[in-house]
Amino acid sequence: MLINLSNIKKVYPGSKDPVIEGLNLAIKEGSFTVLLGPSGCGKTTLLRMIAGLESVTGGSISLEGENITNMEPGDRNLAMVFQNYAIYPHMTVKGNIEFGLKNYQMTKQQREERIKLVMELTGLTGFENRMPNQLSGGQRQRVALARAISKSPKAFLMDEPLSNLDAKLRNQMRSELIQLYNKMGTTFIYVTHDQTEALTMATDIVVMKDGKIMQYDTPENVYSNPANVFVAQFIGDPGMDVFQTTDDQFIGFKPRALTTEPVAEGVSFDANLLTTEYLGYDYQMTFEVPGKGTLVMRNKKKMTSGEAYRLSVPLEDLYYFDRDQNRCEPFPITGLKEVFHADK
Amino acid sequence: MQISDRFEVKKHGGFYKFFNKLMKNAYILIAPAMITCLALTIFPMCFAVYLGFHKWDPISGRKKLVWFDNFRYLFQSEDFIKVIGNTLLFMFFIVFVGLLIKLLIGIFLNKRTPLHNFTQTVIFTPHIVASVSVAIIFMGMMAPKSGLFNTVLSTFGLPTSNWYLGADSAMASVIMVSIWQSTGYGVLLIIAGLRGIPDYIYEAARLDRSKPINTFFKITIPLLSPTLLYLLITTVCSAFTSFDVIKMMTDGGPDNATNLIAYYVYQQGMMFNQYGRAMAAAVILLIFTATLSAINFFALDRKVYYQ
Ligand SMILES: Nc1ncnc2c1ncn2[C@@H]1O[C@H](COP(=O)(O)OP(=O)(O)OP(=O)(O)O)[C@@H](O)[C@H]1O
Ligand SMILES: [Mg+2]
Repeated sequence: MLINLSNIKKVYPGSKDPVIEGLNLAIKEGSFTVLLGPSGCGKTTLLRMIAGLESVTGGSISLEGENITNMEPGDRNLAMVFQNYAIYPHMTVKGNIEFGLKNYQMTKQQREERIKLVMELTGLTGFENRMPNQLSGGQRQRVALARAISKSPKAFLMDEPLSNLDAKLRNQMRSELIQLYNKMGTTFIYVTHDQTEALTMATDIVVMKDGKIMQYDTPENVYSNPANVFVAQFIGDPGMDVFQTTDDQFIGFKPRALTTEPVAEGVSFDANLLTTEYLGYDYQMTFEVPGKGTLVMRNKKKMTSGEAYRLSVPLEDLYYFDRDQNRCEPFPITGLKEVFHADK
Repeated sequence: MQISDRFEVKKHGGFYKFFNKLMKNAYILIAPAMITCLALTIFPMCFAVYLGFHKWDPISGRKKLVWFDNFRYLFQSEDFIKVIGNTLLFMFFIVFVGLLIKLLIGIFLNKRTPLHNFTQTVIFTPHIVASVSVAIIFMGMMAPKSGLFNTVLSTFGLPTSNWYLGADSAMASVIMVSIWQSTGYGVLLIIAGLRGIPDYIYEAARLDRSKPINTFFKITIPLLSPTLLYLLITTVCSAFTSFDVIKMMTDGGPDNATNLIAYYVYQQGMMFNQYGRAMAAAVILLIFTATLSAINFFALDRKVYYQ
């Protein structure tokens, strides 16, 4: 384990309620760990505590077995890439990188070599003497990356580093980050609320909600084996439809598992089609299940709005959750009470 | 062809041609502002230069061109040389010591607690109080026999001073009052400048292992430089034109110890009726301020970082 968080608690000064409480997390060496969760769940807070920029109210953090809970940020050997890059606006690209290196025991020549190396690695060669206001958003992002890499840290901490870029550039930078990760093999701890980013980049995903970890698993498991109703509904585009059964347990299924064909074994119910949206690859239909709520279906076939359908889900596509909304063994379904969809 | 013919303004000649040509000239558009500026600043300035070359008695209206006589007089006068020296000394303290004090107070007060906010407001008030009142208050406090300063000093068994009445302490007293009066405004600007530097820049510096002192000189000062430059230029100018505190407290005395160039201009003109000499001194003052501002501006502009 590279980083160990144990029983972490965070209360911001001036507020009574903890943002994070009793959180335990072990981040594996060499992993690309993504902290994923809805806005306000405490991802940034957690990352900043690891970086040392935010004090820890309770619990401890260790790095390679050494307790770093109260260590100065600069002494932790971690590098951070901020959402807004946080590059020094009055220094050249080179100056931005050198500023940090000067505080490490390095000769001028070592610094020059290091700068040359990271410039090449981030594709910034030739931009050394530019000022930040002469750079595009993507280039500034690279400067922030170059600055982080130059210190050869034990881990990179990144807080939504791509969120200020346009869609195309974001895709490009995403793939460059993956390449960087593969090349360097250093641990990445990456915060995002974008599940596509999480699923495509991560080796491990930490799904968070209200300062608690809901699931810590591989992207595949988080997607196909959600540990609870929250993860089931949060992951996937769109997330699962979930029915509450008449004895207050839950069953869920992916919107793509819904079918208008009769199934041999499974659940079936009547629903009225409210809207049909064309999404390119397929259609998204929103149904109303009379008296129970709305759910979403994905299908390649276009369906006409305003009509009634009988929808079914095959038994093997059903997910079962107990009364506490945690994943459980299959149980006999007593009847359907209410339907939840994450978007609602 | 036809269409362009129809819209060809030149063919109409006359007013359209004139109007269009006129409107292409940007100077026409800023003319109202220019004329005001000319009437209110450039004209008096030229008039001062003009008078500087004359011997003029406004009461009788007699005026005689004397060329450089007034300037020659000034540079041969020991008093005037002393005045220049005084002014430079005064400026040095107001600018450098004053700026340092503003910077230190600004940094100290740049916190968002209610107490700091209150102090910020309080420290700004001297700026909105008339200099005359400030001078009177300080004259009361600096009174040698019964003033607050000497009372406090003697209570602690420390040596007392004649403050603005003593030949060797008058300049220091005047400097003190001037700095005190201008501090609030400067502090306010510096706090605004400091608030303009985002927190994440400091966080990045912490992650870069930068020590507080290093961060201060390499991050804070450069990012504050536009504010500092503005304060530097305005303080230099205000130091050179400082008048009311001197007029109130010392009348340039004792023995010209606190006579500054702006007060000297007033003295020559209004008290000795030497308008020509007064204007010659004013021209020298103008040359001083203009040169220093230009040096400040061009030398520092390169080093100043504007966001
Ligand atoms: N400086 C602060 N003082 C007080 N409360 C704060 C502070 N910073 C964050 N919070 C609160 O802590 C909670 C978690 O915030 P945090 O920024 O960690 O969320 P996040 O998961 O990063 O969200 P997002 O995806 O929107 O960035 C929020 O409820 C927020 O209001
Ligand atoms: Mg955040």
